[in-house]
Amino acid sequence: MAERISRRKLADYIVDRVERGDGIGTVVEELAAYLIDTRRTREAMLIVRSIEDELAARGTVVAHVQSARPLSNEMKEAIQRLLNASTVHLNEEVDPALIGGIRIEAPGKRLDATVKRKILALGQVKM
Amino acid sequence: MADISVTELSKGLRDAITKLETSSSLESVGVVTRVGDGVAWVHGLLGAGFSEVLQIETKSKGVVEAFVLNLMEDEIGAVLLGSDQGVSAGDTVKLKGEILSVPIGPELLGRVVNPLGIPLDGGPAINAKLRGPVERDAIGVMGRKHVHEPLMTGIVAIDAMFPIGRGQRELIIGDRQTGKTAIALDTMINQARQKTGVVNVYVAIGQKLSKVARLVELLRKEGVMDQTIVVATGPSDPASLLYLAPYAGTAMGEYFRDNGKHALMIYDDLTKHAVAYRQMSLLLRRPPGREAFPGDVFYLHSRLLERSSKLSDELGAGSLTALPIIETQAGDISAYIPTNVISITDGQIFMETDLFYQGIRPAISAGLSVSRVGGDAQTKAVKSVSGNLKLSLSQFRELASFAQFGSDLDDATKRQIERGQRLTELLKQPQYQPLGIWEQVASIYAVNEGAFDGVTTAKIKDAQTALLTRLKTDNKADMDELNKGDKMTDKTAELVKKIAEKVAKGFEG
Repeated sequence: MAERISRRKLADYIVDRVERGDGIGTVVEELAAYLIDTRRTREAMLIVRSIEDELAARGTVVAHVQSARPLSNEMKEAIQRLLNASTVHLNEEVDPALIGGIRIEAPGKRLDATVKRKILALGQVKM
Repeated sequence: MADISVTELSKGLRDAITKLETSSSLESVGVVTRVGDGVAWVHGLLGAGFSEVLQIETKSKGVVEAFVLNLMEDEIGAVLLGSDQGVSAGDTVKLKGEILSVPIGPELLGRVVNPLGIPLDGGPAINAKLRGPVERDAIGVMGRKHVHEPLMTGIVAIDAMFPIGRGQRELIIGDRQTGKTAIALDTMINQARQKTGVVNVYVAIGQKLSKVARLVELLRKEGVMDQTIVVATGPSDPASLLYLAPYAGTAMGEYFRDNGKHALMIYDDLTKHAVAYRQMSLLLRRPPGREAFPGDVFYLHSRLLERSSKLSDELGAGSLTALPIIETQAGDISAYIPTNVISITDGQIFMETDLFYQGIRPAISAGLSVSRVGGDAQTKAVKSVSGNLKLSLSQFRELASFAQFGSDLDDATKRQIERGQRLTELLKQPQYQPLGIWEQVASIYAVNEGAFDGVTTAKIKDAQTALLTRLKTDNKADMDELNKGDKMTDKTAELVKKIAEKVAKGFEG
């Protein structure tokens, strides 16, 4: 049996291919075939995470941003500066339940500065 | 309704808010991919270090802590410090940013805590000013000094034949129910009775909690608890806590060593510690070796016991003595863990089941026990009287088994056997009755000088008690002087011999 290839090596290889200009569709299909062949389909989501991590390490960050109100342009710029990457893709979501503040989820990183979290955390503090 | 102070309430609220304020920077997070048997596997957190503490945000049980033991290419293996009940795959994991540490300092004296420093005795929370890392490098060569001060156990057989010095590691090894813990306990009691100022740290590793409770109760009754810290883990605690217990206890003991004081560590017992580590290692998928123990099981104990040391004068001359306990199966000291720990320590006290059931208690084997560094540390008074005690006792045990077959023995052999029987009788000692220096010296001297030669073996103990009572009532000043540990003067020796001979007359026949 062939040696098990780690998720980090797979992610590294896939990002290489994508950067080289191979079509994303082809690469994804090949990866899917590989995972089925090696019976590792359960790891699919972890590999996606690893690919995100690898992309982030090479300067492309895909971040998910939640806020109570739509983000202003200054805010978006501030987030891009905070994430400190050459290319930043923001998936924005407006959720009034957060009351105020902002929540950013980037690969391997997180910032939760929402009012909702603070109130919840305060509720857990024993006085 | 209770009276609520508004000022206090607002201050508390403000403090709580300050504590909750987080800096507006990104924090590293990972995610739990698998969990079970007290081990969580985490994806992400590429910046995690070995032995670093992780915080798992569970949905139902709040934050559960874990510490990193496996750093692999794709994932981290972390051992949970609590129950794995609330932890589930998909939970977010954060770095706590510190390695494991426990509260240390005099605030812990008299307390029963778990390996994380959380009180188990129902007392108030421990407000220690300092914290010490659980894993710490041992002191280097230049920071050490040779072992030269005695640590009296109060047990005649040990203090006379296998003396223990401050900073020594002396293993107590034997089968179950042979009195291993009893020796450790008597040593702790002796520290309080003789007011040596040595702090005891008793580490219970997977011991039945009923046994620990009884022990604590006894220590309280004997007035030893004021200078004792008990680190307790039971059989139902997670293996991670059992694994951490001796290191956490050592961190607490090191505080006293580093401040120029003396501490005594008792690890009860390291067999269970190795088993807990084996469980963790196997669950972390580390390759098993002999008896399924992982490859680093030697290092597990050597790095722990190396932390016991006698410090140089420049570092304050403190000391940390260790009495690790190992349980053998059917007297087999050549099993894996016993041989490891025997080779690490500076000697061992071997407890024999046969002796125990013959009524020779403490059941210390004279032939298999040894103290490799304690000779220099032996109290001069005891040393002067116990010169060939070990040799004559070993010879006696050999002769005694040989003499069972022959009835015709020459006089010299007969004398040796009789003397041996008296010595064996003398070295018997009831539990919780450690003896002071003068008591040990006077007893051994009386037998050695032949003062008790006319006394029947069955009455030796009574004669010894009578001698000690007489000496204490009539010659208290001389005995107090002798108790300081210096070699017995000729005058005192003469006095002891004279009284012993007088006392012996009452027990002859």
